[in-house]
Amino acid sequence: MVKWFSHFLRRPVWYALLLLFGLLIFSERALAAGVPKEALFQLSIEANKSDPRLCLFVVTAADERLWSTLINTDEEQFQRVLSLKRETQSDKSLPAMLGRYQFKDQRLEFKPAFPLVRGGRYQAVFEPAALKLTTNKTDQRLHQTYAIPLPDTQPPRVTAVYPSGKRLPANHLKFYIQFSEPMQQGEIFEHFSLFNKTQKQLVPRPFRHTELWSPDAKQLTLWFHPGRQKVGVNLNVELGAILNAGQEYELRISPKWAALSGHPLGTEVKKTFTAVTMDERQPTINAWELNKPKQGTRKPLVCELDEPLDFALLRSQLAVTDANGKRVPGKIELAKHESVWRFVPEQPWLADAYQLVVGTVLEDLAGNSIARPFAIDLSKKQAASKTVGEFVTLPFSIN
Amino acid sequence: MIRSRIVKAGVSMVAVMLLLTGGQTIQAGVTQDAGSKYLDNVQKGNPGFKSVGKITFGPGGLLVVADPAKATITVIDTHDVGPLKKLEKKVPKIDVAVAASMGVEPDQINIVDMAVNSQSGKVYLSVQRKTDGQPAILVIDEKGKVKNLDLSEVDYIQVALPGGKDSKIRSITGVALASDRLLAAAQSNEEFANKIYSIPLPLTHGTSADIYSAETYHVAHRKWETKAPIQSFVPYSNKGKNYIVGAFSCTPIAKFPLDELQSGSKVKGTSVVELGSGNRPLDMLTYESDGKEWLLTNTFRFHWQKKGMFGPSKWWGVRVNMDYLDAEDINEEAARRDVKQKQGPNGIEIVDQLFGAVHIDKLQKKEIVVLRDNAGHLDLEIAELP
Repeated sequence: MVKWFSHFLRRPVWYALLLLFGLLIFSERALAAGVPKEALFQLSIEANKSDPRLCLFVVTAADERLWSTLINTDEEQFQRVLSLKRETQSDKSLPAMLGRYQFKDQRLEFKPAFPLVRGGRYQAVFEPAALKLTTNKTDQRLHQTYAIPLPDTQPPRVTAVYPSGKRLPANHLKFYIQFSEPMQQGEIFEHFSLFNKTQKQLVPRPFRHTELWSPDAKQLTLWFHPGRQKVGVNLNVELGAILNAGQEYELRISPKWAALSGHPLGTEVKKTFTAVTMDERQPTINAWELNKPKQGTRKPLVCELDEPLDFALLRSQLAVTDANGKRVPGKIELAKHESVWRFVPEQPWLADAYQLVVGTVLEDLAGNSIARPFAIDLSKKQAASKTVGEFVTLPFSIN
Repeated sequence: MIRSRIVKAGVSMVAVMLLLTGGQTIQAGVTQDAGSKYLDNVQKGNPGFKSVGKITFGPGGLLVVADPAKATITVIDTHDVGPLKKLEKKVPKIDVAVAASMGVEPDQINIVDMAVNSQSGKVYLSVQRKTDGQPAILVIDEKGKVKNLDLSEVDYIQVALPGGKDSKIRSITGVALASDRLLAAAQSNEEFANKIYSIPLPLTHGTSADIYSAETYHVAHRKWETKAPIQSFVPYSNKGKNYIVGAFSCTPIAKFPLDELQSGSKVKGTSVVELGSGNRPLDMLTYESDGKEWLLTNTFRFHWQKKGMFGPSKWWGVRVNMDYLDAEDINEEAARRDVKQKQGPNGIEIVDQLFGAVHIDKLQKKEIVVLRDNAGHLDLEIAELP
């Protein structure tokens, strides 16, 4: 007899029926006792104190058996019961936010798969009818709004735009734009425009749509489209160059562009410059002039570069080594619109031999590197510069 | 003609194994096999993406994910190995559903890439929220429902591109899992340079790519030799030699030999076809039709409204007979597509199914999944290729 009974009990269908029966009695009693319907369930939001974007949406049932119909169900059924949406997306055809559902005793918890967004308003909705418990005796729809304000911080700022000079070659290639804090990424090019001040019109489609950010997401490398900046390359032939020598331009950054904090720049940022003759000459260290400091001092080694070179590469591709080839620790400074490179050593200079080691990928403003011009005209049998290795060196001694 | 698409060869091998084994153990068997052949020192947990970029499927449910912000490539064993359930019908405005699923407005997401698991038919999207950079891998099932690939507890390996945290590599333009190696193409955020990374199999967690090419060149307009960034590529082998076939910003299709690739070496591509200027290639795949092998690529053309240009959309695509890839050393004489015609020269054809195609990936045989522009929104559907 006992065996027969336990066999039945193992069957899920009997479990379900028994549970349903129990629930019927439970809910009838609860109602008969005059407990208000809404007391069966309570909806609450438990936000993380240090980060309001992280939160749990919780429905607490008067009895954990009220969750019986959700056992072994799928994500979609959970979403019908408890959903989180942006207030603007309450339309039934739109899916709810993804996340993880779990039970803890009487609690049904929903943890969104992604942090909520600052500046967003969300609505959590609990729909007990979707539990299909009995009749519609427990149908008290609950909802609660949750808004996350923008942080109380200053708006972001553009702290620098390189090249810092106001005269750029007509085949200029790239800008480095630095921000006070990380900006929103993804389809950022709508925030940039190039205005030809001489012709009083916008230059159509000047940028290469490839987002290149520094690891801290505070420096963007913004390229003019290389195919339009080189004579003879297809886009240049079909659409024309971006810059014309002798004309004045304004690089504009939209005030609407927001930082990850949610705050927009607020004011338009402009970088004005004049295009001058194209630069098709490769930079060469033979044209550089070294002004050497005296031994025993920490005065800078000053290198006059003959022309402005690439801001980022001047910081990453130049180094000073000692007589043993060991890197000398120190600080790099740039001056005169990136045409002067200075090196301040951590320790005083010794009376010894040193060398300035330069990576040959170092480029000028038009993408010509020490190793190679930006473009080679094969029809002219123009020779690439004689093959250079990864580095070239400029020896000097301190007296 | 001896030719094989390396990735697809791997898939079919796994498919054969599927047939040979049976029952519940099949999936585990296949996954373990794919895992042991391709992955070593597999981790369990959260890969900790800082960003998600290009994605692609290898055999056995292995999903390759590029993280440009961390300059790493992650391979996740999704254990998603079928059975095949194709998208039942077109899903209009999938971007709206994706945005709602991530709790933001449609203009606040960026669907970076799409990859189709040809074993299960599921469509995977790499998505970033613009508002806070939150990355996600979302999965679209046969009903068109959006699900989350929960990254908190996955089996994965992660390899770094050389340079580690200080790497200047900030845009990984393509990834592919070939039968003997993982390939990646990436761009620097400083010098105008493009690198191809090659990591031999099995991929071992915590290692770094050690073979790479320093620079890539192509010849544009039959005259100008310039450095050029690869935008998309497929592995390709012919006559026993391995290549990458890549498409560039300005837009020749070129092939690069891989066998001689050594650490730090410069590799020069051979331009085989020019598609026309102003195109940014997006995806590339190969397929067979009527006994011919075709290279299919979709591109974004920003000056598509220019007079005389063919086509109704700024997103369009073309198929190229792969016989063109046999060409050797023809940089200056590369075949040029007639930009004012639908076809021509012979074997280079605009494919109507790719008009508006923002992303494509192969499902099986002549079927592809297309994420298609629809007046600023994106529809997801299956298309049959010619």
